[in-house]
Amino acid sequence: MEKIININFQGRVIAIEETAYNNLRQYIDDLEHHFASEESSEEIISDIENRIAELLSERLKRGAACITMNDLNAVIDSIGRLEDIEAAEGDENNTGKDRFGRHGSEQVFKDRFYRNADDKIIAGVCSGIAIRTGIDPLVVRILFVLLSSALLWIYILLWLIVPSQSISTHVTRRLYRDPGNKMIAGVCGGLAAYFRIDSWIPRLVFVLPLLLGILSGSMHALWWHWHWGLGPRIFTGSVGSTLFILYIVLWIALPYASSATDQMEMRGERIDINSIKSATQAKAGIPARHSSGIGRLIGILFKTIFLFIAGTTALGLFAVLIGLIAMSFLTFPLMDFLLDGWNQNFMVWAGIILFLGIPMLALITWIVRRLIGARSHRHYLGYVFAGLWMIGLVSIIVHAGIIAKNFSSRSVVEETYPAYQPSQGILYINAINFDHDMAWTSNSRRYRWYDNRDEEDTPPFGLVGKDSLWVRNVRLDVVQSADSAYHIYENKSSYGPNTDAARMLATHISYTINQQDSILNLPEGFTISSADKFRAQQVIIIIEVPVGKEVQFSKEMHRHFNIHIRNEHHYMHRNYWSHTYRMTMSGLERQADTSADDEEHEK
Amino acid sequence: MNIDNTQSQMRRGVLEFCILSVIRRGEAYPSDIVEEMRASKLTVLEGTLYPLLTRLKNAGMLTYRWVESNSGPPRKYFSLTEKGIAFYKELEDTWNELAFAVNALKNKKDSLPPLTDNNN
Repeated sequence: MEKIININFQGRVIAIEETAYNNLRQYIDDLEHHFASEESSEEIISDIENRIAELLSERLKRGAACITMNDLNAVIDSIGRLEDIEAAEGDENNTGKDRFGRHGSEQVFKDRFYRNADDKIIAGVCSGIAIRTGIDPLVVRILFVLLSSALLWIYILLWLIVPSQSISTHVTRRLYRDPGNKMIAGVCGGLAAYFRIDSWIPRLVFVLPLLLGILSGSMHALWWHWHWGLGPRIFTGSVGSTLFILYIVLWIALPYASSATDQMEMRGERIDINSIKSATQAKAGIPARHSSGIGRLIGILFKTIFLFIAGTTALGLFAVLIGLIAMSFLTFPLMDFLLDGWNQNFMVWAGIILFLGIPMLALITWIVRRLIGARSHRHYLGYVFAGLWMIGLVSIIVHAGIIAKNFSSRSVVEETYPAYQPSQGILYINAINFDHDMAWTSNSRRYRWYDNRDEEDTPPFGLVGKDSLWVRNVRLDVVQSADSAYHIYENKSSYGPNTDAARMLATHISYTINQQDSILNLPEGFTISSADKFRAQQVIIIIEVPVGKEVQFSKEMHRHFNIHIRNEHHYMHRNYWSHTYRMTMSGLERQADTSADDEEHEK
Repeated sequence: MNIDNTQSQMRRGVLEFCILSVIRRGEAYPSDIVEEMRASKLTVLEGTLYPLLTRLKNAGMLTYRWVESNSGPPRKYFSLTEKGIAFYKELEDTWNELAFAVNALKNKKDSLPPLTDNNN
């Protein structure tokens, strides 16, 4: 039984048996491939098609019900079978065909160096080298990427010098995930198929550092205890986590080898199905289009500039992202003082990780895909990335709003410190450095996130123990007293979601002034507990000095205090700690040198 | 030496000349050219004729026009251009010389002069 179909062939309606039709298609496809290198191949094909249509319709007019295989064969015989046409054309045509055609092309390209226009990521230099030398293109590419600083110029030079050519290479192998050989996602199976090794090798490579990491992690405490340096965890931990991330990235980036063709490509087997073969041959038969020399040069220059700018921008973004992520994790313990409860903590961290991590993951995925030339069967990946990133963004914005609301009201609590009147008529104001070593017990040493006490500036805040934050936010105002006595006031202030909450937080600030006769000791900072949270708490010490009495600041004060002194000229002398100041009606006045300091001063 | 190969090379050499000889006589439809040649005991495949015609047309030797037919879509009829006529004339001269020379060589009956022994 034969199915008969009607086709419109070059303007004629022809009833034809389906098998005959398929043969006709095949014949015309063959002719197209044969004449593909011809200048006006389309015209030739169209002429021949016209003639075939004419011959077929003549047969129908002579009374045939439809075109059978016999009819078609007779027509094709009169036009000429492909072998006959090839034989009749002889050598004359084949000289031109051998360069681009199906016969012996690989051999030609092994002897000459071209950039491969058919298998390229940037300009096909690497795959050209791969064909010339017989090395896997992936290996050449990885080499170029690893040594990019040295080989970049060589790459650009080759790009400029070496002509581009379509080369249908021997067998292209692609990385896929192997559904037939998988433990988790088939990544290791796919790698094994690609590199033609047993699948336990990549599995071991991925799993071993993780196992060692767990082992060495349990030994790490011991290691640390004996002060043997960094310990094995530095190596196994970083390698293990890198491989873990690599696995995830490959999982996302690599397509599943779902079809038979994919699986053959994965193993690098030649795909012999006729249609696929002819499809690649058709592509190979068309010589690459060359533009003129100058145009090509300008094109490549623009490409280079574009790639350079894009690459630099991408690298810069990458560095910024890594920096931001590192900073987020450095401030991790401090976030407890900013955020309320587990929920908010989770939401903010999830937001930050999504907001910063997703672009990085997307970038890495993109790079990996470009590197291995994986073809995507999935278009939803981009939407998923964009969606997750948006969720992160929204979470951050919402929580920024909530946190900002926590800082919306301010309240000040005023306390009077009962000041002793110094017997000498001079008050020495001294700063007490926060004793870090006292505060940091051995248990909490890991929470120390800065340690630069030896430098001029101590950090503005730091962790003490697990649940208290030390804040260096103390201001000193020295003003004129209304009577003949020194007065000391302690103003504690804080922000909060409302005035009452702010007031409560302000009263919770623990700040202790201590006076021994004429020496007033002011701590450089105060602590707040994690239950109270950080709401920009501040302590302002106001010292009223009676007219005619004196005051002197220690050098420590200068380092750690935000000092506001109303002197007669409204400016601070540079070395104010080396001088005695006397309160006058118009403000503090610097007294004659007690040491031989210069007169330089500064606004 | 392959006899088929030599024969096809001979035929191929004169194929263009033969085709132009047919077209010289007036506008020609490709299948008519094939018929004409077949009548003269020269076989040509339409599959090789069409590309040849297209190449000659691209080289400016031939031109064509569409002629309405009563049995379907219009057909392409080929004719010689000025350049084509000149080209044909030259080919004709060459052919005449060649045919004369070949025939002369072929028809010579006298044997070649005998070998002499003064090679040393």
